[in-house]
Order: sequence, then C-alpha cells, then structure tokens
Amino acid sequence: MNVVYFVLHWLTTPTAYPYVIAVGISLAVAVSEIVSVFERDPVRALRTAGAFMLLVLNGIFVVVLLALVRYLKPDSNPLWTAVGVGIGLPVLLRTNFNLIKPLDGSASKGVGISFEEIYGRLQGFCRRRTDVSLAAQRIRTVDEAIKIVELSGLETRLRLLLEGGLLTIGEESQGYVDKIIDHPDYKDDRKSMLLTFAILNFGGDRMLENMVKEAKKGSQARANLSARASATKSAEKSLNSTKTKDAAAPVT
Amino acid sequence: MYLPENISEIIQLASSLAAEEKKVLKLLAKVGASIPAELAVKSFSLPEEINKILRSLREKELISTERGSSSTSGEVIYVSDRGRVAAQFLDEMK
Repeated sequence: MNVVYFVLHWLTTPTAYPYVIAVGISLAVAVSEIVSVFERDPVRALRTAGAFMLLVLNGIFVVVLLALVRYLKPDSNPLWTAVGVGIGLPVLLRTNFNLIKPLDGSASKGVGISFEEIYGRLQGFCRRRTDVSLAAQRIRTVDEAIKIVELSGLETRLRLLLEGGLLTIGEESQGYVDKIIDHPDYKDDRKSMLLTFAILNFGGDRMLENMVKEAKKGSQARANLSARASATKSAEKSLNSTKTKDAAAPVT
Repeated sequence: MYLPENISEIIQLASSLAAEEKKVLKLLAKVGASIPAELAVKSFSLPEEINKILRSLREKELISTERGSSSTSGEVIYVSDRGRVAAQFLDEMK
C-alpha cells in the first residue's frame, strides 16, 4: 500500500513527467507490435500474461535508460530527452553492435552485442505465452459450445457458412462438412468438435458465442416448460386424489 | 526479424518439402500458432491427415510444439525461426 502511495505521490511531482512520456511512447510501440502480430484478436491478445510481460519489460527498459541518460546529462531538456529515449529505445533494441568486424574472407565471426537477437528471443517467448493463452481460450469456447449446441445445429450453421455462399472460400471447402459428418469412425462428440472449430475459424468467435447464447436460452426455455408441465401434472394429481378422498369419505 | 545463421540450408530444405508440407507450413506461418484440430479445419482436412505432415515438419525443426499450462489447453503448434525463413522463401517462390 505504501509503495502504491509513494508511486502515486511521485507521479504528481515535476520529475515524473519525462518518465511518463518515455514510458507512454515505449508502450505505444510495444502495443502496436502485439496488435500487428495478433491482428485477428488484438484485445484478447493484449489481456494475456505474455503481452503484459512484454509491456512491463518495455516499460522497465525505458525507465532504466532514461534514468541513466538523466544521470549522465542532468542539464538536458527533460521533455526532449524523454521523447528521444522513448523513440530511441525501440531502435536500440533492434540493433546489432559490431565491436570487431573481421576483414572479408576471414573465418572468424567478429565480436559484437546483438540487442536484436536478445530482444527477438524475448519477444518470441512472450509471443508463445500469448499464443498458448489464446489457444486455451479457444479450446474453452469450443468445449462449452460442444456441451450446449446440438450437432445438427452446428452442421446447419457450417453448411450455411461454407456452402451457402457467405464466404469467399475456394472449391476445397466443398464436401468438407459431409467429410466430417459421414466419417465412419467418428463419434458425435468428435464431429461436434471439428464442426465447432470450423465455425470458430470461418464464422469467428462472435458467431459461436451467439450460438451458445441461443442454445442456452433454448435449453432454459425447455427447462422452464418442463418444470411448468410437471408442476401442472402434480397439481392435477393432487386435485384428483382430493376428489377421490372426498368421494370415498362417508356422508354424515 | 531474428534470422538463424544457416539460411542456405533452410532454403534447400524448404525446396525439398512435399507439396502438402509446403501448404501446411505456409498456412501455419500465415495464421499463427494453432491447435492441430484447428489447423486441420483451416486446411479442410481431417486431424489424422494433418498429423502425419505435422510430425514430419517437426522432425525437420520447421515447426515447434508447446503444451499449454492449463488443463483445457492442448498442444499448440507454431512455426520455428527456421520454419519462418522457409515459409518466407516459399511465399516468395510462388
């Protein structure tokens, strides 16, 4: 709690604003990198731990670099130093420094620092974490849909997508639904899984989520109807038994 | 982009791939990391058809796999650094 208070208090001081500017620029570059890689689902990608890690690391790098520059050159203009560091860091992280470059034809590789390689590996790690998180989310969506949406509903929707002319897909999609449905070794749950993945892929997650919502509403309505029917039945039963008791009772 | 050093070897390997392997590698490079069943659907094939191709690409180190940490996530396949170079080469050769 004290740390949060200290950070919030520090942010109100004039020494903080160069850091805020530099971190803002650095984060904007990092966000654009993530969005350009995961352009199909940028919002979900930004919410994953991998993306968060990349953003935090970029923030830390820029704060350390700006602090170093401010320490070495305390009389520099804080605003322009912050802008320079904010823009310069992404360039620095994608740079190879060759300290010793051997002459042409030499077998040795020379000596250098490859920030590009280090940052590339870091990016790769964060990207894989994001990929795994997004894949887990997709599996959860498919898993939920399989439990709720009926096979016939999935089949109809996918036929509409692939064979109904809703998408500009080549001829290779023709007969794909039949290939799954008519497969002799596939059980219904396997067919449902493949059809659901296909709907998720060709129709998007919004379509699948809507199907799940509709199916939930339908099953809720059916449950209400059946509850009402059983309540009516039991009321009728109790009325009948009362009538029977009344009829059997001796008249006094 | 970080490039592996032995590019000429990768280009040779890419050229020697079977048509189906080339198709799957290019598709995976285009769509990003996927689950095997998803990739099968994207290429209008069945999981058992694509698994053989994926195994072969993994043996050639053109793709990598990672198991998800949660109980619901399966195996995620993605193009390795070598595979990215190979896919780029195949795209340019088109």
